[in-house]
Amino acid sequence: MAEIGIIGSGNLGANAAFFMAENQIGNVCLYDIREGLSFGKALDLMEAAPVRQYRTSVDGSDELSSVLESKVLVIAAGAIREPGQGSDDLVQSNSSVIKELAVALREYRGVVIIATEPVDPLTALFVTESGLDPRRVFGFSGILDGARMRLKLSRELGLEPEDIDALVIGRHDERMIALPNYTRVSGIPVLQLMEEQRLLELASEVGKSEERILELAQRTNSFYGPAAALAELTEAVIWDSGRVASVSVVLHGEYEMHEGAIGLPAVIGAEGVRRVILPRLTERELEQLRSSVHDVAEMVRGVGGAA
Amino acid sequence: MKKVAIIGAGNVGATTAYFIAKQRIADIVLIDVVEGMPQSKAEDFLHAGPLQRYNVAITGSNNYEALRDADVVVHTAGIPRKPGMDRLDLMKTNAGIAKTAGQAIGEFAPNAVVIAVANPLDIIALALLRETGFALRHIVGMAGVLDSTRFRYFIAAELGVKPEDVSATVLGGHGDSMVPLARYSSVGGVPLTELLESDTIERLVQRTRTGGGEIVNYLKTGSAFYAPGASVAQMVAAIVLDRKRLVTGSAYLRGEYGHRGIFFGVPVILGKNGVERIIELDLTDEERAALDLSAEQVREASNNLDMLLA
Repeated sequence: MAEIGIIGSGNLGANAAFFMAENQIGNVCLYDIREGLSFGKALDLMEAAPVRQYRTSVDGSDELSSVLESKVLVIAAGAIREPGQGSDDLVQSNSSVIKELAVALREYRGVVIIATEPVDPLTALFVTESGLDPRRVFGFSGILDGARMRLKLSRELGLEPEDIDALVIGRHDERMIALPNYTRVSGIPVLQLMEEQRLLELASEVGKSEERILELAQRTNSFYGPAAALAELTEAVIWDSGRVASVSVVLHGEYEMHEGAIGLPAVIGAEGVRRVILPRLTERELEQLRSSVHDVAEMVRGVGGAA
Repeated sequence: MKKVAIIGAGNVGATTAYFIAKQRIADIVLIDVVEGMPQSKAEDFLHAGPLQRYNVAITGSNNYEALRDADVVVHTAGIPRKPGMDRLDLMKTNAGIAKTAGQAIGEFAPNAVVIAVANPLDIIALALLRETGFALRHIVGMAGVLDSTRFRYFIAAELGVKPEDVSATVLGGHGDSMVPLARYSSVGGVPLTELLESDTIERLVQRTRTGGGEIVNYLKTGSAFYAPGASVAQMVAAIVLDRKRLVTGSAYLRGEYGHRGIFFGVPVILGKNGVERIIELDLTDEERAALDLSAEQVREASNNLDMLLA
């Protein structure tokens, strides 16, 4: 039985399976409601296995039951964003997919990673509709914004991206909140190497990444970056590695907020969110976060969920 | 493919070669005075090639001429520290070895970047600078990467987080006076000081300072080589692949941090030109005092070198 289930065998789901095979994270089963699609993607991937020396397998299935015994379930189903489409619009179309899955997964015992956009309201919606332990469900968000920020900063500073840590919290879109005081190079605060104003300019460009990729590639949104980040988070759960990453977590009193879900740094392990880390925010950052959480809660209520 | 020459085919040299080969960073030549030893290790490595898929050339030699055209030279040759032996006790023997090696590097690999690894590190780097006659920025000592990887590991184990998400800065001389900086250490961008109590941090700092000794005490007849080898390989990769990594390296100071004329562990940017930049951090009075103390120890030892090499 596959340790990793992926619901949605489109570009995001299939490329996540690809990175998981490349990094030998665990056996994967792809599932999609479109018949045959999962089998096709899985077969294509496994035909690369002899050359790429995969030691893990990728299978496809047309039955949801095939992924129910997994340790991790990645939900990458639903519609992708159209150019110019806002997340408020997208939540309408994707909330029915998430609700349906939430009901089907009420008995699920593993960890669920929500990658269907918009991640924050759909993570909150999934938790309330499924009744699963909120710590076993998180949305994939800030880890990707952080990765994009790291790339921007590495180009700006002429330094290796691997040495850069960039914490990005909040919504997974142009309202994301980059934290200059939690951006470091090999442990050294980046503000000792550059001006804060410039960092915020770069952050604003990062917030528009998704829209830019959508414009450039037409009719397809980003999936390599997101798939790589999904593979990382899956690995953290499968290997219980304690990865520190910004993910969308359901709020239980963090910064005195009790509803919705939002991107915050967390320690990820076998049981899902092991611990949420609360950075010391400036008044402005906290205000932005509160406003984002308020929007998320409104969106959840707008699609008939309890925030 | 670039070429890395490793002087000293002992445990540190050979383990460094392994990590370089495994990551396919560069062709490798192992050089040692002991006859047959570097050749045997090179051959043994090659026998593992079909399984490990290195795709790089590995050779061994007893002759410094094998340094020819090396892009990076790693100097590990020297006697290891024995239990209870201070790093400075090693100086006499190891400085003599560095003198001969430095002259050979100057002759056969005049364009190389040299990484000093043998202890006492900061002094050996100075000896290599003198004997090669190289530009200041072409010599760098490996200490901070090792000290900080130990600190990172201890932090990760304490917090139960993934070691690669932890960054840490350890400045100063490579010895008991090293200066681990909690303020410049972080987990996923979050400063250590927000995640651990100061008592806990102090315990980890102390363990980092004595990290090398802890291994020596276990081994009794040798010193660490896995973590040192991995640390050297990372520096070699930064130079050969021009990765512009921000690491702590022992660099020749010309007034940075208020010191001059010594090799000392400071944050540097490593690329194809060696030490491409030294980063000066804001320090508290307390941090600066600890660093000054460490610099004083390195300076005293450096003065001894003058007498030894005179």
